[in-house]
Amino acid sequence: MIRYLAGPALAITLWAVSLRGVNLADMGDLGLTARLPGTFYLSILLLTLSFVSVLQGARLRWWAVALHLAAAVLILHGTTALLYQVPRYSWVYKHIGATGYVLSHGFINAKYVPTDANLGWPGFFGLAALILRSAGLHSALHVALWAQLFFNGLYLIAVWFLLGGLTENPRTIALALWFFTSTNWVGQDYYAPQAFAFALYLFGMGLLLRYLVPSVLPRGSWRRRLSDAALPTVAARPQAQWALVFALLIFGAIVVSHQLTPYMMIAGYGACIAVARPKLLPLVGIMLVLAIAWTVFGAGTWMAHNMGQLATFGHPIENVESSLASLSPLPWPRRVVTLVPRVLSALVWGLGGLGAVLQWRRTRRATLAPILAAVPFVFLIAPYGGEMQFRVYLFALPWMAYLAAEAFVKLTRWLTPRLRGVTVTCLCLVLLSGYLVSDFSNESMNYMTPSDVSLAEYLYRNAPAGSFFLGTSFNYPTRLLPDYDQYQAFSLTWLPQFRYTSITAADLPWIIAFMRQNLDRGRAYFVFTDTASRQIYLQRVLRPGSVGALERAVEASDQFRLVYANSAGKVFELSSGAGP
Amino acid sequence: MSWRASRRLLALYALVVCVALSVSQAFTASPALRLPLSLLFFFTVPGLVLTQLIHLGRDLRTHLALAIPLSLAISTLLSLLVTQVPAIGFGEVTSFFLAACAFGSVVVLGATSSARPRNVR
Repeated sequence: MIRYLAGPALAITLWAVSLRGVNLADMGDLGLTARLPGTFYLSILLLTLSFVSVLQGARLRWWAVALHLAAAVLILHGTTALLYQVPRYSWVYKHIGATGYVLSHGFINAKYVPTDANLGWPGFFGLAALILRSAGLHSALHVALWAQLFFNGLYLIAVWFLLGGLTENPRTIALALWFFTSTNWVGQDYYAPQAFAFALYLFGMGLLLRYLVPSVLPRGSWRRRLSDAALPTVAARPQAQWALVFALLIFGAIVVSHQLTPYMMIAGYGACIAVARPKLLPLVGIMLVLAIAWTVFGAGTWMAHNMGQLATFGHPIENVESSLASLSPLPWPRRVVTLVPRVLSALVWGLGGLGAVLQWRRTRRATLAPILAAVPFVFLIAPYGGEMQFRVYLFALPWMAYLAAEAFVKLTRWLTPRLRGVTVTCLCLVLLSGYLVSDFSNESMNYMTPSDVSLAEYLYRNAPAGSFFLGTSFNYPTRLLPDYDQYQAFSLTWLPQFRYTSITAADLPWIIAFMRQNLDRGRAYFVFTDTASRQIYLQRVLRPGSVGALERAVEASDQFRLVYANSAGKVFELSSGAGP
Repeated sequence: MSWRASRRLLALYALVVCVALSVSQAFTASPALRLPLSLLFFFTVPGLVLTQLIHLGRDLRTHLALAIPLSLAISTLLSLLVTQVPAIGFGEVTSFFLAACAFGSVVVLGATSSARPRNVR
């Protein structure tokens, strides 16, 4: 017992020590990866070796596996929560604002829904507001800091539940859980409806595999498949009826929380049921009706105002290309850290593909895994704001992790235990290295400070309703207070004429005219923050020196007045005169 | 531990969380106690009560795993009432929810009471 406890205990001690005194200021091209000390990486190495020794043991002890997985989640997903004082990612703050809106208003006024998808699918925000009100809190700001740790812990339980429906081999399950945790790099696990809906999706798929499809898949004609006689194992289980009710309950919560996840679940259920239990196809029909009903009646006003997005459907290659960062303007360290997630994804998909080939032509329930891994790729036809490939990766990941583990267990069966141990250690370390670079190398722009929050709070507390905020980029905590819906925020880098070019003082008159054009009422503000500048620098969205030149021009202009400044940035107010 | 004892323990846990959260909401405004109790309640109790009230097999780990998504799903759907119906507030939903879960726990405790005769013919 001591042997299995010692590894995680030592790893967590080393990790805790490594977090003391990490310098977070001015993280460069490599982000947090270059700032974390050697003891941090040593803790990961130690934990991996200890996990492999548990996996190699004569009898697999589940408590030891759970302990190692929990330690891995803590180290990989708890590091930023412990180092930072406010949540990372600028885009998390709009969810804090949406929670604040529901918390302070309760009932959602339909007139705000057209401009904000979050209020069209308010399930997650309603739940968060319910918990915050019950706890006596008035904001989700500090709760959101811990969301990644919480969601990844929840995913572990959900993926364990799901994998129990695919295999009874505990070593495959343990390895798949490790692969899942150490390759979930896409950053969809922060305080957001998609993270919540994804956890429910995993449990929903687990219900399907454990209770609703037979352990041995039916063969033969559709007529035979549609008859109960082909499915004695499922029809005989009274739990299956409750599982149906639970699946619909979980699906209902997903439908009101997130736009994409219900359709991912419908596609997964549809594919599995068509292959394994066609008699349940009406269930898929009910799910589709529920999802469409909410889209039409619950979020109809948002849909009506955003129908234009449907025009971009059906172009999978363009959708993927448009959201991949261009490598050409980047210096070599940024090129490497931009390429690593792509290589990691290819590795996960490659191993998963190998596992799928090994599953081919079998008739057990696990055969459904390759189908479920392939289903999300169909969604590449939708643009989804340039994020679809990340969602595809996420929704395929549990199945890919299982297939990769299955492939690994099968292919290394002929190796000696020592050689198998070395192989699995190397694979785990390669995946973990890829994860660390993919997740931590952009921290230069993902890291937010309390000063960033103060600056944004100043704007939303002091600007008159209807004001227009123009930032050099959108990478600062916008929309973080409940009344965010009364303001417009815009980024200079969204304007195509400025992308990948230089902005000079000569462009300022045009920018002033643009600000006045977009102002209905209230006032216009120009926001300069270090986090926005770091994003522009890292992604080279503007030529180096552009932001500095623009800031100097604004400071020198008599059209602007400095109204707020702190260590995070400056806010300039545009005069209400007729302009140049 | 027998299956019956496990069910009693889970029902007792649900009841204790319901009572503790109600008391803390009535007597303290500090989130230090109310936040962990609220998390425990909304993340585990409704699902635990539901899975104890119906027949879902005797695998304790499955019950515990299912309790989380069911709790989250039920809580989400209830919170939807607040966002869609102007007359309903968070306070009413939480009070109703606490009362319903406490009642469910008492029902499970009654059903698993050792004083109840077993196999009486």
